[in-house]
Formats: sequence, C-alpha cells, structure tokens
Amino acid sequence: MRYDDPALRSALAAEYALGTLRGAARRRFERLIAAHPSWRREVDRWQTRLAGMAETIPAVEPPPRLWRTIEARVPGSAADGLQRALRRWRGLALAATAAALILGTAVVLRPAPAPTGVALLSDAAARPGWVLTLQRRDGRAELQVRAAAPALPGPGQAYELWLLPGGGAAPVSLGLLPAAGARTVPLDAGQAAMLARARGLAVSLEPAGGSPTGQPTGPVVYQGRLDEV
Amino acid sequence: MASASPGGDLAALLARTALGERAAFAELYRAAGAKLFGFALRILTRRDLAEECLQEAFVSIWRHAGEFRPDRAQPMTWMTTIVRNRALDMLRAAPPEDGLGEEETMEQWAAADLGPLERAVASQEARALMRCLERLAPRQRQAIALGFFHGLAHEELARRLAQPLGTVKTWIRRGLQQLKNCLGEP
Repeated sequence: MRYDDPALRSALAAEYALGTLRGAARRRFERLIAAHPSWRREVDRWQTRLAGMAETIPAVEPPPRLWRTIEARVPGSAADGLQRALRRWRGLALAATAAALILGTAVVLRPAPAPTGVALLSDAAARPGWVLTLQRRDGRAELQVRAAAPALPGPGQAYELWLLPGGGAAPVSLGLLPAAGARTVPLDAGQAAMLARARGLAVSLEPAGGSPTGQPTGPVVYQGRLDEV
Repeated sequence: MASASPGGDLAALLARTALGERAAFAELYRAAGAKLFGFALRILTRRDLAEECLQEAFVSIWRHAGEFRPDRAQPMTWMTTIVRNRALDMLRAAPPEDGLGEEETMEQWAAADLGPLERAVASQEARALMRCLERLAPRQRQAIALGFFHGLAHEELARRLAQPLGTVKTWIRRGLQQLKNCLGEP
C-alpha cells in the first residue's frame, strides 16, 4: 500500500476515527500515527468532524452520587499531584542533566550566593525551557529565572509562571517569564511558604500581558518541581 | 439548545485541571457531564454501564488533561472521544443481551429529514456536519451512524443492514469521502 498517498491516508484516518478500521490494519495504522505527526493530525481532523454526531444526543443529568464517586477517585494531596506530574513528564533524568549543565554555566558567569533551590521547567518532550534558582536570605526569598531554550511564543502570546500549591488549591501566578535572558521574581512570605510546601511549578501560554482572569487560561506547556538544596 | 459553556471556557477549565485544581475539574464536570452522560447512555443503553463509563472517562480526563492541545481539538471533541472510546471498549467487552438499542439510531439517521437531529446541535461545526450528512444516501448515512454510535465493524454492519460486505464497505468509504469534500476542509 502506498502510505504516502494523501487520499489513502485520509481514508484510513477516517475509518480509524469511525472505528471500522479493525484488527491488524488498525494496529499498523496506530504505529504510523505514532511515527508521523501529520497522520496524527489527520485523525484529529476526522475525530473533530465526526464528533458533531454526538451533539445530536440530548443531555441527560447524571445522578448526584456519580460526581461524589469521581471526586473520591481523584487525588487531592500535594504529594499526589506531584507524583502525577512526575509520571507525566518523561525523561526527567535527561532534564536533570541539562539543568546541571545550564546551572553550572549560570553560576560561573554570574557570581552569586549559592542557591537554596533549583528547578528545571521542561516541556512534554523533556526539552528545557527555563532554569529557576531560589535564594532564601534573611527571611526573604527570590526566584532567579533564566531562559534556557523555550519555544518562541506566538504573536500576542506570553509565558506565565504558576506556583501549584497542591491539595486541590488554585494555582498562584508568579508573573510572566522572559522568552530570552533572565529576570528576578521576588516572593512574598506566603508564596515562599507555599513553594517550600508544594514545589510544583507550571508554565501556561497566555495572552500578552498575562492571564486576564488571574488563573491559567491557555495550555500548560512547561512543568517542573523545585528541589531545595 | 444554547451552549452554556463555549469552547474557550472549557479549554481554560481543562488547563486548570491539568494543574491539579479540583474546583476547575468540578466546574468542567458541571459544564459537560450531562452532555457526555447522554452520549454514553446512547451508546451503552444501560444506565449502570453509562455511569461506570462516565466515571472512568472523567478520572481519565483528570489524569490526561495536560495532554489536551487546544490547537489540535475542541475541548468537547476531546472529551467526547474519551467517552466514546471508553463506551465502545465496554460494549465490546460485554455486549448487552437485549441488543444494542440501535433501532432508534437506524430510523433517525435513515430518515429523509434530519431536521429533528439537527435542531439538537449547538455548534457551527456540528451544523455543517449535519448539512453534509443530509446529502448522503440515507443508507450510507445510517451505516456511518451505526459505526459511530455502536462501534460496528464492516462485517457487523453488513449483517445488520442485510447488505453484502463489499457494498457496505463502499458506502462507508465513499460516504466519508463525500463528507470530507462537502465540509470543504484541507
């Protein structure tokens, strides 16, 4: 079969999304999707097209007990949230190596007091975006944020840094991140305490100037955790 | 039916869910749960199975919210696909003894007038799809709907529609191709 034929690709993606592609042909196609992003996009397009059929089905209110069951199955503690994040973000060993390299450079170039914590924010493919170093001195804390190699945000977009307090609490904004270079983020006592407890950090893509709602509105594109030393 | 939660709101709720915020997850359930439950019920026909399906689907949404990409899919499409995959898995693992309840689907989707179905949809994309489905031959449209709602393979479709296998395969293939042309996308 000529898999590079766009018409064939679209036909296979359509039957895959509909579900009529079965057995060995389905498994073969799944391998192709995994290897070729353009095939994945074709499946996405077909799923979007066909999903309109689901809209014809009227809503039915589920029984109230169902939400309680779902809620009970969803972890609520900060530790659970972090483990979830760790599982999700693959290649952490690789990322840690990159952090050590970049941090090593940063310390050499900029003589500064030894950091008390370090975090690498990386994307889903473990590509580093920013290195964060935490300084705690005389009861004050500040984060030094240095861009490693984040993907350039689109026009009218900005990266916003969030502290994840865990325990099901809402994220707390720590401001916008530079796409290049460095900046310092002073932390108030509350933020510093939260960071010591939870250590989870995430970066979302927001409109220029930051989230209009005070909560993340765009996709989470980088994530990491702070390790205090 | 007017949509109470435009896609942008749902996308924001998914982003916050990805960060482990339970309040956002609860709001997501309130906004989309009933629509998704209706859909699961339509596929599985039994309330107990539909409840199990919705429960598993939402636990999955919580775990995988970070993988949702707004540039790739609408939030409702993404969640619908999760519910559908889960429901069809359950259907294949334990087919209901008293049939699939496909009679209603078959009648509705084979009707010359899709008006009653079209009035139920809110989004522009779904309206466009319904207009294009209406241009297919009724049996062709019915075969696609049976595949979508009941996860039937070609062989099962041929049996239920009492048509030769080759005919059904051609209906599906051409039907999907016509849909794509009619929707006029890349």
